[in-house]
Amino acid sequence: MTFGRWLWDKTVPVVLNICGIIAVALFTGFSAEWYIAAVIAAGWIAALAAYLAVGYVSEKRRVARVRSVVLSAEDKFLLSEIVPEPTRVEDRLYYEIMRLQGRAAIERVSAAEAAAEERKEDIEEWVHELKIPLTAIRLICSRSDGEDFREVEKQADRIFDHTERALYLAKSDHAENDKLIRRCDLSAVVSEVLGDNKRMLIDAGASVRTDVVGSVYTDPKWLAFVLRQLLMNAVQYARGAAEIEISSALADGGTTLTVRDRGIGIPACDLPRIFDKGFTGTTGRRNKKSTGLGLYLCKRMCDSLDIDISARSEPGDTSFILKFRSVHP
Amino acid sequence: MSVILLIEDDDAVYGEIERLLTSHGYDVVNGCCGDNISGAYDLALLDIGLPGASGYDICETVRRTHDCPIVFLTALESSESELKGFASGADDYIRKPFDPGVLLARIARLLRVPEKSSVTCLGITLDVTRMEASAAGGSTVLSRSEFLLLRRLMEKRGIVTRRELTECLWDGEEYVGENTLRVEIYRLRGRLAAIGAGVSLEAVRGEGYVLKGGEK
Repeated sequence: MTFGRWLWDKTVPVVLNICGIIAVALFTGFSAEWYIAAVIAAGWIAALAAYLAVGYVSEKRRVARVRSVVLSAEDKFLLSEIVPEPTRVEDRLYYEIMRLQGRAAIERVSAAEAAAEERKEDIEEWVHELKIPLTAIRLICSRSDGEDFREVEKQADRIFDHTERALYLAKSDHAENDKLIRRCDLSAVVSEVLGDNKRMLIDAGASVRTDVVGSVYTDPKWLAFVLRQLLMNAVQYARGAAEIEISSALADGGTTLTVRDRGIGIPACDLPRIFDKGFTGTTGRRNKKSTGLGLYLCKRMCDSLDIDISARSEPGDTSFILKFRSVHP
Repeated sequence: MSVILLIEDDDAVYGEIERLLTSHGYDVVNGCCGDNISGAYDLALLDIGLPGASGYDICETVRRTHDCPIVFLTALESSESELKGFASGADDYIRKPFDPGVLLARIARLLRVPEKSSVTCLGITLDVTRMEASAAGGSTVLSRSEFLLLRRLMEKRGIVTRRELTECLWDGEEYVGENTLRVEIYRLRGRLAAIGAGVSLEAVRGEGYVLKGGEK
């Protein structure tokens, strides 16, 4: 708000004042001494100048104060509640309008958040219910011999896979609540993931080399989910039987865990988009269909766990790297 | 043999778990109606059910009167429920759906069932701790993969599918592919011949492998 612009709004009163000064000066000058007229005029001009100066400075300060409140607010729909109340009558109309709008926005946002939370709980309950017959199926298949049962087991695994994705998708919106950070032995987590997913991996003819040591602070279930998605990716993009290598390394920023495969690789043009929601690469995938959610979820979960996830790829050599922040003792 | 108290809401899952446990030599007592909780048992296997259900209370009740291991079996996902489970006094917490092998192993460990130190069959004795196989013509220490495969073949006493053998290797943290299985079997054959074991390790077309007594 420049002085010129502010003054422009006050054109009429300033002009009236100037006319007044001139009129009084002339009138006094004709009827009395000139020097009396000069004193009156000087006094008036001084008063006017002081009024304008103080007015401008205080107005500028007020604007700066309101601006700083606006710029620092995170949830801008709450602004109507925190902006300082105006003192001038002219401003009150707009303030009232703003309050009304703000209240309506807050109500909408709260309702939407409550609905999303409810939906997340509904999904969790639904997935919970699904896991019960899946448990029965797995137990039945486990105790029965025959290729038919292996096939059923495989399909049941696919169902389980989808329920996991649905669950974590629902959770990722409310990331803060459901994770429990604790110290995890990396090689134990990797062993567990490979064990839990052995059927899928063996089916794809995969072989895995592991060289993992060390521990990190994170939620082991979430990490297991991320690793599972990366393994499935490696299987999808394999050339024939998947050859996977999982290794860890200590860097100065912390520990890194790398999942590397010798598959067909991700084309350079696709690489920046692989973590986008719904992105499905098209080149040579094993199963043409994909939800495009796996890597998207991985990225979201890693962001929430403060893990940096990145990918490097060339034909025959693709790596997904997870960088864990080191915990200073 | 050990008695296990089983509390599980779903009939189908209850039936399967009971079958799994009895087929591995355990006696199962049904705790679902609450009456048997005060009885005698060596381990309690509890289902938590939906949030707000009484699984945690039951655990606390059992804990008050019994000194036995308590294992929670649940489809609940959250870390919070796991924490609550341990806080109620549980010794282990297994999520559904689970691998039956894992459940059995954890139960055996909690009941401190001593692992068989050796397996004998068809004239071969396999020392589990030293991974050493002995027969009429001598003994030899096997590689981890060879040991895992031989143990499986000996325990099953019948045809073991390639799939099962591969899974067995993976359970032993040898994450190998198809071809490696073939190679390991070939090596194992050589080892068995070297110790003069009077067995033949045969491939059954389309199915798997089997350990048969009597040389071919």
